[in-house]
Amino acid sequence: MSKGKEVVCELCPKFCRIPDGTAGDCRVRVNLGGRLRTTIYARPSAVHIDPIEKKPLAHFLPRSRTFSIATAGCNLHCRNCQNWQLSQRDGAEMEVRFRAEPEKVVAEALRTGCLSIAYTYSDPTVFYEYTYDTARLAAGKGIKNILVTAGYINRKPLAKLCKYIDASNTDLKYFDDALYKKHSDAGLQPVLDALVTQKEEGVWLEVTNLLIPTLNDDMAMVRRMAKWMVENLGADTPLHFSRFFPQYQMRNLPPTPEERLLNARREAMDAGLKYVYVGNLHGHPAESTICPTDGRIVVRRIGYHVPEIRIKNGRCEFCKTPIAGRWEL
Amino acid sequence: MKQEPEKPVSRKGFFKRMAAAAAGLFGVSLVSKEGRGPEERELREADYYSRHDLAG
Repeated sequence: MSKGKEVVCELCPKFCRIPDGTAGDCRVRVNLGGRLRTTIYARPSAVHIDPIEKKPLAHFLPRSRTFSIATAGCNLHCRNCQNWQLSQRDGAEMEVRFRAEPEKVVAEALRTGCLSIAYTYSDPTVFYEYTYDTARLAAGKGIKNILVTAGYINRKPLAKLCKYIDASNTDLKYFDDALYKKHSDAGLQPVLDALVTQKEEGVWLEVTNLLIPTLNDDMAMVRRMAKWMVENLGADTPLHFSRFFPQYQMRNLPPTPEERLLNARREAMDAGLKYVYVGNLHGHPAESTICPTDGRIVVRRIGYHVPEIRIKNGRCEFCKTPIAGRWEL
Repeated sequence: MKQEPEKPVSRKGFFKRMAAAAAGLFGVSLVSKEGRGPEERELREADYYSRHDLAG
């Protein structure tokens, strides 16, 4: 390690001090001769067209398709990561790595009729420059931009990126700093700050909480989280409780019981949140959007299928109550 | 999400499969696959970092 050649990455709260010739904790930002470089710019390892309901976004352009891209790498190391083959590797380790400059991504999104581009699967924080350039270009062509992220990013780069971001689904994995540290190598407060920043910057925000048996399914924790959301993000912010399945390094725990998910949903709604969903529970009525005034279903969902939308001009068709969200272009 | 193939395949076969998969998904090949790693000179400089002089 030579003096003066070390750099500090200021993108995420880890502030990695990176000696020359090595990578940061995310594996994809490397110090080469005292300059930090990203090894995965324009080199996604996953390119798909997804229903927007998969992100999940329940209140943003329902029934639309989103052009979804991701590179290798992540700044979190969740023991239960469902995309660990992608997130816990660097670009050179990936067998599948495409070359797609921002112009190409935007052109393909337009050509395939996608209304949005989603930066997803691993975490757009670590492919920040690629996300930023693509999102800026897409915004100029009328394409919406979506972040699907753990929200572990510093305020300055996030606020800059938000100028071109229309919607976000951000994980709030644990409402507990020790659990974040133990199971994701991250921390709670930066994620809370990122949620607030996105809200302040006018991004349509939805939150996902993966409910893991015995780890974060304590109802007191769920209540505290929902209360924080009401006070800091607003009661209109949708919350998705997602069902856990054992995988990667967390195979010792069972899938989340349905009853636990529904209890959490009830707690969150009792705390004041208006729109609370369950995910990974295919076909359950709690996948649908219910008008908080008259209790009728205004968006019916069965998995990613949306057979019925009863929202007109942003309001419940039946009682005219405004339903928060971005329902049309 | 895109996963790695489970079994090692020949590079030639792999290229063909990837091209076919991309063509099936997007109508035409979306993007070309590249080699293992870009040349260092091609790597884009990252945003948000600072030089750090080591103490001592």
